Amino acid sequence: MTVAEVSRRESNEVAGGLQVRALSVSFGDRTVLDNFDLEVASGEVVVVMGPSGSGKSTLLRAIAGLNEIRSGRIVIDGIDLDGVPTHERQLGFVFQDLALFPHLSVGENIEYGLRRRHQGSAVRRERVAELLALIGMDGAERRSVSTLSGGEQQRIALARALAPRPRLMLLDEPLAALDVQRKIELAEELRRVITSTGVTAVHVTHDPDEAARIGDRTVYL
Amino acid sequence: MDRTVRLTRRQKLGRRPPRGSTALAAIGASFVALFTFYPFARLAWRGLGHGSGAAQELVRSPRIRRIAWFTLWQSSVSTALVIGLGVAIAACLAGRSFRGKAAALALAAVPFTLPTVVVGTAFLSTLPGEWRQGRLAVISAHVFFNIGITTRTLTLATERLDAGPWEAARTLGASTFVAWRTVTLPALRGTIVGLAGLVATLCLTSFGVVLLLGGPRYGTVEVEIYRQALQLSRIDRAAALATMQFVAIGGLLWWAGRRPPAEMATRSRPRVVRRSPVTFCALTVLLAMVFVPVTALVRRAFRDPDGSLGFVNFTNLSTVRRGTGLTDPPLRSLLVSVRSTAMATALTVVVALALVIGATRAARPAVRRWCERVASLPLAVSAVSLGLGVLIAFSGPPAPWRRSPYLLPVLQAVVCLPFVVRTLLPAFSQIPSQLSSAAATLGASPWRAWATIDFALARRPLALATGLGATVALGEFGAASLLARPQAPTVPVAIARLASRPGAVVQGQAAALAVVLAAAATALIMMTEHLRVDD
Repeated sequence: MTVAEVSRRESNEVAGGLQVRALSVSFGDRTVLDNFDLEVASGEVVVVMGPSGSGKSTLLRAIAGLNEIRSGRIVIDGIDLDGVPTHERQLGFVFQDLALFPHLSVGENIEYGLRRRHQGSAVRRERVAELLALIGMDGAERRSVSTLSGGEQQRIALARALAPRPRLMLLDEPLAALDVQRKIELAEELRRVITSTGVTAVHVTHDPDEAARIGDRTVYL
Repeated sequence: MDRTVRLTRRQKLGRRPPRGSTALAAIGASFVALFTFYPFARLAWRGLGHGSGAAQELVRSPRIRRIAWFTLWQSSVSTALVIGLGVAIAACLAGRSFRGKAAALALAAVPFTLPTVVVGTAFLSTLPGEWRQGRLAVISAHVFFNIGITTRTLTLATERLDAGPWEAARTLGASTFVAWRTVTLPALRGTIVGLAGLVATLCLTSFGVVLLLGGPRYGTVEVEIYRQALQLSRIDRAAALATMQFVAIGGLLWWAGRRPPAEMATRSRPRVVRRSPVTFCALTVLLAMVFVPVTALVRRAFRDPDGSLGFVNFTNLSTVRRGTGLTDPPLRSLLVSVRSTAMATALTVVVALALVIGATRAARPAVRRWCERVASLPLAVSAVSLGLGVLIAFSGPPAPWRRSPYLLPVLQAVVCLPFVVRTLLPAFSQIPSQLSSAAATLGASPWRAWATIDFALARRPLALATGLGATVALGEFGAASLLARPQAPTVPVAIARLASRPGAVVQGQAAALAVVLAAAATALIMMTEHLRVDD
């Protein structure tokens, strides 16, 4: 199914935001998510909290299409994602281990998603510069990602996910590897960047302080 | 007080190399110097030194130019095919989990462990009449020899990659193919270049396969060295050719070695992909490429001279046929091979242990690097060049050992040495030095600590290295073709002599002997693989 076809397939759900209905995910005999519901309004930042192994990451991976679901529905901006492959869901995903491309520079990492959407070089250059300014790393386009500090890598991963203007941002404990002081600073910056773009976001963490700093609302798994 | 002082000294000794380990490393290095460096230096001097015109003659010879071109051409085509097919098949198999996958990949890698003359004989049995010898036969055999190990290495390397960047690419809009092209393939670049360098080197120095399948029209530089030395007695020209080949291969290895290693080598979570019909198609193609020639060889071995199925070719191994170039029954070559392999394996393990002790116990990293390089030296010289160098170096004083029955096992030990050292070195390096220190504090002398800790922990890798060394020695053909005594050929030499003669009976004997050798090599490698799995 192409992006255009996805866009045309309207759902009966309320338009805008994310609706997860009766979502169940199993790995073999083990059920990780069972009949889970979640509703996120357009532009809202929701934090999902829960202990280790409760299925927080699995929820995000299921929304992204990286894990198969057993049953349930996932609807984004009124479009049912059933059968839509990951690369056509138009999402932004910030992974826990950030997953920056080590063979690409900072600029090439950020413009990766724009290239996949066939954006021209001028548009890409402009968008990369805009995002680097937003995260306070102007002029870092040519730097190698291996030379970045942990906090800088986290910012680049965020910029890369935001670059193609996704319909939904999924953040899987991106601050987990940082020390307490850096985590406080970056949580506030994360909140500022996400709200300034107006994107709908689901942020996963097990840290209540981080949840309070980033989210408009917290739900528990 | 006195006790405390003594304990401190023991602790200190525990961190030091055991007394004599440097001397052992020096003995290992002397062995390599005597049987690799010295013969090669004599070879190079004979070919290029004292105003020899052999090199100029070679450069001007249209025949040699044609051979050099064919060597390069067949190596490039074979490498491109092996890497292209290997990358494509690995992309279809990596991340797909299904029953029997590990066994299928291990089986596909078996041809790499087969002696080259067995591969040559298998293709003589596989290809139809006019295709049996020539360019196609050489390239097909090289693909068969290398495709399994290449695919297996690439599949495992892909599966070791962290899934994160690939998944990130997918969420950013990359299809499965685009994510593979833009993320996975660049991450595999170091592995692919390393494999291409290895395959290209093996094809450039290919001897057994080209000798049997090249026919009168096609030969590589390695075969030409053999022809010039043994058939035309032009030792100067052969020596010059061997030296020029060494420079070219050395350059290629240096180029491949300076490429960056695989990136993203760490793995946080594996990528698991759904199975598809493509997975099974890829596996079928791989197994067909590997097993069609093996099946043809086995069928040929069991096809009696009158065309029926039976064991006549095997029973014929105990008889001598005129015109085969063998003075004893082919079966006797088994005894020669077993004796030679046993001696070569024992010697290579002893020398490898000496070098590994030197490398792992050296206080200075420079000594360690030096030991590793010394152990790799025989890899840079082809087996035929090494055999020729030994013939030149040990023909007269100060070391007239040319006719010694021990020279061939010694040279086979040299050929095996890099493989054995490369198996042992990581095993011994990974043993934490604190264990020896702990043993020392408990009263063990440095050698006792080594024997009861390091050696005890590395017993399995040692058995693995021994099996690997025995497999390489058993199938070694390049050096043996020059050094095996005419009346006592090894099995690979006997196969080559039989396979190069016409006649159904002799060809049947060659196929039967090749099956026996392949079975022995496969049994050895399966035993060592079993050790690797258990480890």
